[in-house]
Amino acid sequence: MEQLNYKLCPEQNKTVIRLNDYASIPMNELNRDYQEYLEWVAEGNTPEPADS
Amino acid sequence: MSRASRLSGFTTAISGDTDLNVGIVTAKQINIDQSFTFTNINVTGVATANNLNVTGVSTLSNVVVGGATTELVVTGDARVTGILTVGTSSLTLNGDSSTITGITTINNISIASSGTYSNRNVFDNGAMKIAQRRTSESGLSNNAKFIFDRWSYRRSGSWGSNSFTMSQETVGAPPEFLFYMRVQQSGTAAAVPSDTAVYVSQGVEKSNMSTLSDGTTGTKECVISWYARGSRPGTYSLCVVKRGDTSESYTTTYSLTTDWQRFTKVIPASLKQWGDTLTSSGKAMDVYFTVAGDGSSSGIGTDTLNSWTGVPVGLVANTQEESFASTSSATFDITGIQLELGNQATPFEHLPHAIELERCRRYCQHFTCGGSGTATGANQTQSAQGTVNYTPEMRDVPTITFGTITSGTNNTGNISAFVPRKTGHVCGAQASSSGRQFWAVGLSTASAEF
Repeated sequence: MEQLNYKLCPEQNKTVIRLNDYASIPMNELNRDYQEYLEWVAEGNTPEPADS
Repeated sequence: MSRASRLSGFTTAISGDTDLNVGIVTAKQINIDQSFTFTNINVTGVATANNLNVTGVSTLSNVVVGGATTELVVTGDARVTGILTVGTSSLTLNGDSSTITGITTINNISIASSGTYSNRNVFDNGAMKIAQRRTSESGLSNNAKFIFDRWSYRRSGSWGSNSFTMSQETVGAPPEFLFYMRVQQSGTAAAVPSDTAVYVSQGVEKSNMSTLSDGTTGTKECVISWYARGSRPGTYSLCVVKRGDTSESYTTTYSLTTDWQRFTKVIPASLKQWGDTLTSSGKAMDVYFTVAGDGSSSGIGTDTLNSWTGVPVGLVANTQEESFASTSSATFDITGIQLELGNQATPFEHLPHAIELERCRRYCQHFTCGGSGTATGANQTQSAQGTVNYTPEMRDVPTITFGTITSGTNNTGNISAFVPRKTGHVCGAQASSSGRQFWAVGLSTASAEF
């Protein structure tokens, strides 16, 4: 199983970057990729901080 | 007795081989065994004839015709002013209400039992025409993936070294179809791990399920049909899951063979609406065609078939064929998937390619874009921006996956999306230093799939 990794996006905390394919994922609970990200966080994982 | 002008008052029957011509016969009951011709008949009681030729009759009531191979032949016009029922209430013509009921087939074409006659199919891309992302991918295992538009590879549990390939195929498609989906065992063939299954699945938006909803009270009876075949014949599962405040599932089975067959399953009405508490763009239902699965699993297996159950954990029938995963290169083929109102599966509704593509673009779109500007320092992300508009508007704010920068200057290679909306987004490339900057990116994807 591919290990997922994420990075927060600096733009007003509206998106998160999935580092596996650099997808910009909107922080929208109806978005399946964001749901997957929330599950990843719930498992105890932490995204990389946004670029300053 | 050879001839008489009026006969009356008989209390016993006239019998034997006689020749009787009379002007007026008034009788409470007439029984005729031989050939007989009337020019005017007025029978107030019961008349029975085995060979009756009638001319000049204007009114018949309570007439029973029977006894011959062809029981009633009308050589001229006929008019029924009441309701005509043919068969045992199977076909009814009601002139008063201008209705015909009971017809299920005309010229071998199934007739819908309810609903409109166009855009009947609730599913998108049922004929597997549209595959914008890719037409084949191997190594599918523990992550869901879209190969076809709207139809995804899904799984339950953890599959070890076993994996699968999903592809769009053309050779050997059933008549009237150009494409079908193939799921093929790849990787290490091994028995299905416990609590594990692989599905072909589509989630349907609530706004597209309204035709299958009965107002606020629940769902209507609907019918799902599909064409399938497989190299491992046996019992396979199909599960419909109704999403919402309280999810429910309906699991049923069918017998897959090595030849294409069209299967139909009627899904009965139920009390809960499709996606009752969800917004109109939420996922109101899922369908799961099980390709491989552990039917005996306590987690995903079920012996509750052909009825709605309250908790959608039993997606796989306990009789699910289990040899697919353990058979090297086993195949499962499917196409022509249709879900429609009523209990009569109509012929698959083939939509023009452009229309099918447009429907799919609500959930997935490709785009290219670029931008230019002047950065005042390194690592700025909004100094050179571009805009992308989606047509049609997407189901929801999409996930955006950018391609690679194909041309430009003063870029680090990173691209970000700003202010993402259902209608489009603004994007910008990160500058590597201060100064003039431009960029262009290749094929990129916006996905709002479930």
